[in-house]
Amino acid sequence: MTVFIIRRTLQAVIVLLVMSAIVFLGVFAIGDPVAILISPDATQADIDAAIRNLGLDKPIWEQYLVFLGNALQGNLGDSFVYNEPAIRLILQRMPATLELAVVAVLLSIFVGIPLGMWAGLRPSGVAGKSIMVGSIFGFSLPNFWQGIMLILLFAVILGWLPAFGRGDTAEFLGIRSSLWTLDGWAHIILPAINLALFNTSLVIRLTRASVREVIGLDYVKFARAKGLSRRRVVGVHVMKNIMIPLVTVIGLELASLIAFAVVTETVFAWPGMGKLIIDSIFVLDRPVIVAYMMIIVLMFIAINLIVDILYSVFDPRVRLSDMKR
Amino acid sequence: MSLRKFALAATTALVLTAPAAWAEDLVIAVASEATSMDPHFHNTGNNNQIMRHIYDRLINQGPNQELLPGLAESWGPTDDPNVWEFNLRQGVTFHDGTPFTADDVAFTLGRAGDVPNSPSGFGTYTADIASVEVIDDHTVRIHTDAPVPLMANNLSTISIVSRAHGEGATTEQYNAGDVAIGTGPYRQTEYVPGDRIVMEANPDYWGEAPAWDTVTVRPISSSASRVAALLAGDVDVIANVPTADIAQLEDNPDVSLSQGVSNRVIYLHLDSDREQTPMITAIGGGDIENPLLDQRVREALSLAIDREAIVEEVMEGIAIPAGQLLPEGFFGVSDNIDVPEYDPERAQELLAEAGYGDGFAVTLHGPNDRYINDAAVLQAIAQMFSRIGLETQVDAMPRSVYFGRASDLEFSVMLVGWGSGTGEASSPLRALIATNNPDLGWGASNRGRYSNPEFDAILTEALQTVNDAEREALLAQATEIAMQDIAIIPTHFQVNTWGTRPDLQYIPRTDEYTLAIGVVPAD
Amino acid sequence: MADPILKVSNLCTYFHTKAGVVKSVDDVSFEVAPGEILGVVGESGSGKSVTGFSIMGLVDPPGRVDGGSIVFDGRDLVGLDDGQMRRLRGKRIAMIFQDPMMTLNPVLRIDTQMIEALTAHITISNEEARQRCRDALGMVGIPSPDERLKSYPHQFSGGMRQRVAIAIALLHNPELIIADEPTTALDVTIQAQILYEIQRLVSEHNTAMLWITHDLSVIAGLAQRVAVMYAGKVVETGTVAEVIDRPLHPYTNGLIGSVPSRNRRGEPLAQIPGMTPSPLNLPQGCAFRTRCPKADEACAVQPGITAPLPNRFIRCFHPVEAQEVIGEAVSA
Repeated sequence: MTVFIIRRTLQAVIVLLVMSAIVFLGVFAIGDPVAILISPDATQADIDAAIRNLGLDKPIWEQYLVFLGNALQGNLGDSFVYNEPAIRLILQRMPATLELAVVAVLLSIFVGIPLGMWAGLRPSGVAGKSIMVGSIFGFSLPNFWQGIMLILLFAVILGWLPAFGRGDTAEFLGIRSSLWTLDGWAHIILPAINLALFNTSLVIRLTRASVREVIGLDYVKFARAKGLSRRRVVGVHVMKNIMIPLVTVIGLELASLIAFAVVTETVFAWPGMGKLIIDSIFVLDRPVIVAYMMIIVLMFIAINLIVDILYSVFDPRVRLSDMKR
Repeated sequence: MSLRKFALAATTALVLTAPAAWAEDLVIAVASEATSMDPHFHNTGNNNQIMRHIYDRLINQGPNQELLPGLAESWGPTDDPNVWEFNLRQGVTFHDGTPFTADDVAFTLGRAGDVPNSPSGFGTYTADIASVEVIDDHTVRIHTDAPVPLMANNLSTISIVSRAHGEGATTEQYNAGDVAIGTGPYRQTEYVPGDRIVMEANPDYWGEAPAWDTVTVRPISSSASRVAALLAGDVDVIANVPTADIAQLEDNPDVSLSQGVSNRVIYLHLDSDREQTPMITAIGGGDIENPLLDQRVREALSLAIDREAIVEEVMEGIAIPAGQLLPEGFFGVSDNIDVPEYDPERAQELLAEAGYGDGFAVTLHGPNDRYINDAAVLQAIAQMFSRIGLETQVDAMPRSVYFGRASDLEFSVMLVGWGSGTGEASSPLRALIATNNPDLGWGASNRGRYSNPEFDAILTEALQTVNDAEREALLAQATEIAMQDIAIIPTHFQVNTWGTRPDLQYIPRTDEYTLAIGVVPAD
Repeated sequence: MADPILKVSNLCTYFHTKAGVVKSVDDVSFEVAPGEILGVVGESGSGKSVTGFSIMGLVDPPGRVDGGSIVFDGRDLVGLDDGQMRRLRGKRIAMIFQDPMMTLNPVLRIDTQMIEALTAHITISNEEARQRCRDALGMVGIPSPDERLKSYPHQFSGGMRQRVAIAIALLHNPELIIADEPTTALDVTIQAQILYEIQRLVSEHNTAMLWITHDLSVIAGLAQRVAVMYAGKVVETGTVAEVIDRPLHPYTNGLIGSVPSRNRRGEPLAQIPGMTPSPLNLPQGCAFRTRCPKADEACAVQPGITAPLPNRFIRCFHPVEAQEVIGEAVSA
């Protein structure tokens, strides 16, 4: 196990390095942040000063080396727009995004898995078929449109829920979050549903497919032949076997929800990282873009590691470390 | 020695009538958030409109950007045109109770242009100040090296901070709120980046008592969400109502709309300089001499644009056709210029006269995410050009890419906009039409590299003329020269729409700012 | 015989597919006495496995028991609801499957899978359950049972897994065990071991057994009586010795004759010509008609059950004559 973790850590470092180069070069090759940021009234002297300030007067490879040097000390550069360390900007907004992503994933798990199991166990019933049709809508309808519709229905027409923004936060166990307040939940429920819809549909379909695959296998029949209750057959024998594909998908889901909740955060004016990144892209705030990408890569790596470890927990046939699989 | 005093016409009496204090909280939703709470860090509308609540300036700008007394009760050049004297208001205190004095002004003017790492600061407005002389606690003299007629306009953009708190203060400290001490009607209570800015009323404000207990400004970048928030009653005021929604909202009893013309003109910049221009060729390919060098061609293009149609069809009626750089009523606008009539036949005649009877092929460029309906306007213009025999293509792109390339002179015909920060004509004239001179900072946005010595001369004179009436006449004259020569082709002025609760209305501002002070009960 | 523990009468299990009705089990009848081993022999598709599942009530849609009765210890299982069937399954009727690789759940430990079989039917403390599992493993000849209990199925060999399956089947000392080709997937030597174990255990506990297989030689050594199935019907029943010595149905004859050991060295292998018909496309009348050397027009009608010799039942109009029996008898 330790060998496994060490090896993965090394891999992670290499991936980070390569990613940093790709993102850095990619972002710095496009557009001209000075033209966006600087006041149109500026004199040439001001423009030159701004270019020097932002470090843009050096050749690109030199800029990259400066960036790397700083990165190794934990400094990913200062935002062109906010003049604050890019990392701090991102970390400031991360809790909001994490909240949203966690609630969305929980929704997709606790709604998606039961619905998927139902559809898998009773595929020809009305409920089973409706669930599958519903799931098609879930991943076909554009996220933006769904979001606006949710707002229109629940906030404008019914007036039950707030139309935008994050609710009040409270501190509990050292963590500050809007999940500890009722107001927070009122605010998070619509964007979480919006964010979760696509993934819930995926989970439903995956669960159903896995259940259909497993339910016909011999060991399920054998479990029934032993006289086990239906609940145990489904809840233990079937469930444990569908966990591997589910854990993979949910893990990736979580990562992508955190990284790319942009549309939901924009529609619901949720003050998270997604909104920060899209705004930064529009104004070419390069340090923030690069810092964000690096943090996201790190997160994906971490989540993948956890998923792999969970594999071995769920399926004893999977061995980590150097043993052949 | 007499000081010229500037009397104040109470044209903005509406603003000054104080409603009874509402004891209510106001929530405003804007399209983009401020980048910082440091009043001198970033000169953008998003930041400035917040600062108007917390800080005062020596001179304020009213809804039409007219100059009004702020922390200075009166001001003007002395007999020496290089010295301006400001008489400061007495009995004003900062939010922490300390008195406001001339020393604070001196400190502010030294700091404002010099904030570290500012992406775009206030340096242009303080650059002309050679030194600040404190005469006494309530009198200040500003010395310049040459006459600066726009001194008052420049100072109307600078928020006054106190030396006690501001000395050595960093942008981060302003964001944290520790040193955010001003003299304005509201004080900074909470700043959650990306989420909200909360300000509470300053009961000791010297001016009109703040009408709201608290003012919360929240960014909602998606315009559909912003409108929904207003309809849901979650916010009281929204800025930037999209034109597509206006017709529907007008019929909605739960919403009240307020509209006003802005100081922003949308225009076409033409490459009037190079022999060969990259985006124009003969029809079917092949190089031709740059047709835009010929004034008749430029005039033809201007006449080919049906400005009324653009306003009615593309902008859904929410715009004003433009014949010059600022709408009627602004300082420096010429009364002798009419909006060009749509005349495609005359346009074709002019083309033929200039030797381009067969037309030419041209690619038009513009942003697609900067101005209201920018890409649609560009396409409409392209179609209009097609009707007079030109072969047109349109390339609209995100602003992050567009402006850099446009400034690198990659384009021939560019759609751009310009909002006059000072609220008067010298701003666009100097930036867009004056000969490009990097050292002086003139023509910094003159991407067509238009150069007209006669124009330059008059503009130079205007900018050294301290007498308002004379300066205004000179600016109008310069404008006339430029428009006669078709230096650029203005198409329309943007009109901004704000939405409010039905029992409120917003007093529109030409600088497009959304201020709590402008939110008043509906008539 | 004395009261049979299992009496299947006219059992019909049909699969109602979109392509048509597949009559997997069509009018099948047999009995099993307490403590007796009945072999059910047939090739793939003969309906022997479905018969086993029908008795357990584990036939899944689109299949269902459409007719007949399955009387177990005096009680007809057809028509019982799932709850009632569950109380029987594993406790009084147990089943052993063919493929030991797939029978045990790969992600659950052996002790989990054994203990749950116990706790599904009786209330028992964890400690006692564990003890009984240890004993059960010991009974089927698995050494170091404590270690084995904590292992996962993939850590066992095929033979061991099957022993575990047998142990699980015996946990509640059922009156009837249905074994669906339990040794088919094992090596011959392991097969012999398993067969030995089963024989021993079954006679020790006096468990009745329904041994389903396609391999006659296994039956020869193990069962007392045998039923031969073809295309969903039982075509011959009798004691093992008699049926093998003197088959009456042409199919049985061909089946026995096909066993390679029966042929003399150097002679071509005997075989039954033709292929098993598709269940959707059975010939009219006797399903074996198309491959039977003795078929004639009379066979266009479904033969009823006849008894040409005492206690020997067949479905055939033309029983095999003594001289037509292929090869020598196989010694029991």
